[in-house]
Amino acid sequence: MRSKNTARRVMLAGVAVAALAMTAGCTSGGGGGGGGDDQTLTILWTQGYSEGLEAVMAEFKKENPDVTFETTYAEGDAYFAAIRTQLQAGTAPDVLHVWPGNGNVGATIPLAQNGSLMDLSDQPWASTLPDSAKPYATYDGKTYSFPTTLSIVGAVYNDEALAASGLAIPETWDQVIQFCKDARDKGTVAYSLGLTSTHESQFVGYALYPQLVQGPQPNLDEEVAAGTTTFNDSGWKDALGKNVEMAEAGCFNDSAQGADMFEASRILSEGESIGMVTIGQYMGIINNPGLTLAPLPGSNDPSESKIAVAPSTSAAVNAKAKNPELAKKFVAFLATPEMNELFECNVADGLGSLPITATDGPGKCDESAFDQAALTYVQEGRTGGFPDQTWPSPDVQMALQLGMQEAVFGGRTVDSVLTDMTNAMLSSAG
Amino acid sequence: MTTTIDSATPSATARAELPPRTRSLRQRFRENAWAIWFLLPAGVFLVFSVLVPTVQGAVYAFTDWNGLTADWDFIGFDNFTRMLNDPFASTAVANTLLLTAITFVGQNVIGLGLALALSSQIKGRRFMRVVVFAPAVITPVVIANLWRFILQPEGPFNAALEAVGLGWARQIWLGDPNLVVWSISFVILWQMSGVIMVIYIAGLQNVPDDLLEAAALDGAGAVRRFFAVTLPALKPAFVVSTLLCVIGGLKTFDQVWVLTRGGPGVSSQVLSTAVYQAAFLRGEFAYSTAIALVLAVITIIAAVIQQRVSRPRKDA
Repeated sequence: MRSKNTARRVMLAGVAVAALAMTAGCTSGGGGGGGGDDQTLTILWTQGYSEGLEAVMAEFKKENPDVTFETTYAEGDAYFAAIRTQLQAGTAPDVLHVWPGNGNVGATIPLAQNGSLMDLSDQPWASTLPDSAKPYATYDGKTYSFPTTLSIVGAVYNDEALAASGLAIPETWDQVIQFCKDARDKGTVAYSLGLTSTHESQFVGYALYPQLVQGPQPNLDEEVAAGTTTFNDSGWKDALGKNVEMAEAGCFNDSAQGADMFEASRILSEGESIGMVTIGQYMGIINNPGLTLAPLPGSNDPSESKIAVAPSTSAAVNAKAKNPELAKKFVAFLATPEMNELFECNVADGLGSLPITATDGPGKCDESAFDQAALTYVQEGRTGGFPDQTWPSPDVQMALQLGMQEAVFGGRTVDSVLTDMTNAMLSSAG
Repeated sequence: MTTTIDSATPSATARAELPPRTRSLRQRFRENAWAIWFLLPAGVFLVFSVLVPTVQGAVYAFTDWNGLTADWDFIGFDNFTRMLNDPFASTAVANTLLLTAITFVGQNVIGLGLALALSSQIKGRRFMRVVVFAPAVITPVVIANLWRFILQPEGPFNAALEAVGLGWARQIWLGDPNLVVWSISFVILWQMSGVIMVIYIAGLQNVPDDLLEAAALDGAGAVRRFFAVTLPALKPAFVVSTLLCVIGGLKTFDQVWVLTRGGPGVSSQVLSTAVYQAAFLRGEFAYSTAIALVLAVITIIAAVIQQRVSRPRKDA
């Protein structure tokens, strides 16, 4: 009996140890933490730019046939969660998509500040970055990322809907309000808007930022951070106030408060609205080649109108990359003019973005009216940047987005939104 | 007559006859040691994947950790005092309690009503039970995405209202700050009431038929029989459904995130979405763990209250 019990216990112990070993096996290994050899390159990138990246990867493989890519794509909030947790856990891939400048948790400057990105100052492309792009790719005098394209925020018009309405693109602020009223009289709506998508609430402000804020007050952010002024006492009050004025004038679709960006894009694409104040990245969603870009005028002097243009998706190398040399080689390959153009041309067929070297001229796929208009403004210097790329933390942009979601249709005042933005700036700077 | 006594038999019999408390701890451990071996892998997993991160998170709630670097300092209760003054977090607490209250009452009322209706002799009741329960087996993210489309201002829900002459009832269901929490609650009720229905159907099987017959013979009507006999017998089912509804309501994330991301503004922000936003969109990991700790405390308090209220009363 005793030997029978002992045998039983030994058998049960063995089963338990085997189960424990299986559990340990499940929790180890895997993940995106780099390849097992020096010819495997791991990449974490945003889904929206996957086609551009895939095109460049295919060309890289032609020149480096032994290289294997392991690519992970994520979009929006999921990307922020992925990049931060993987960097903290030490499992982040070799090459990362980062945002230029500052203002969000996946941007170049905060990641470089925390030592998460590799210094790429010695790379050949670092010294040839356009001056306009350098502030968004560098931190403390060192280069950490390569911005692949320029993105654009402005007013976009559906050519067919515009022609059908018989109206003209407004060139002054008074014409914008009249345009909105005339559109209603003709049974259509001037601009589509989808406020349930949080970032939709910022685009009118962003479109007016170069003319009403950045131009007159280029050092505003530093002054607010130092406590010597507030956003309430800046051109932001005018910019955000105009957004509310547009809503009061009936510029937006009746469903704006309940629609999202996809619905707003559909409304524009199908001609149910004449225009939309939006960002170049949406061109792939709007999916209508007959679009014209124009600035949203912030005053009654057309010569003062500008569009917002800023570096967009950027490539960086993980400071703890398992394959740093191959990673740097790939980023340098992406940074060549030919590959940069290939990348841009494969994202929504090049519509809605410009190559990072746009000041030198158009890319191969920038022949659309939209891109040509954007190029004109870039080459004439009638552009400004995106405000969030110079803000010290995501809190300021979040205060703007969440505040304007309610303020556009009178749920709260513009002053209260600007107060929240000021407080967010002060706490981030402090 | 010879009786053969097996050496094991008397001690086994004696052990079986002894009340549990009389057996020594060592004896009880020896008898149940095999169970401990089976529990060990799961226990180790629980400790390292749940307990250790929970304690770590609780510690980080009192620091200024940014989620990336190893440098951090203790800052005491600063994260918690910040919550009191931060509309982002304080609105989340209020919305969480409101959403939980609505879904708790709604799921129990609807679930019980459906259980009573589908426990009667109505034709097709088995098919209807499947239809009502079916949404519960689909992941909440999918359901929320469907309803986000349905509840668009120009979506099918408003179109249906218009079609039946209720055009005056059209609303911006997900964009009106006064309605949005109710709209999200509606989606949760639509999906999860079937689960509560199943719990109450099981509970109704235990309602004594003889008591119902006796009550009917004594002249009690349907309503009186329901309140006097059926409802008291459903107490165990009510305890289970309360626990599920309250804890489910407090930790709701998927539906809120997919439908509104906590908007417009912060009008539908709940604690779980606030934790996510603070951690992953604002990079404030320490603040997010403080919010998570508050959510955990609220959940524990709710569970303790529920246990106390549902404990059987001792007769004097």
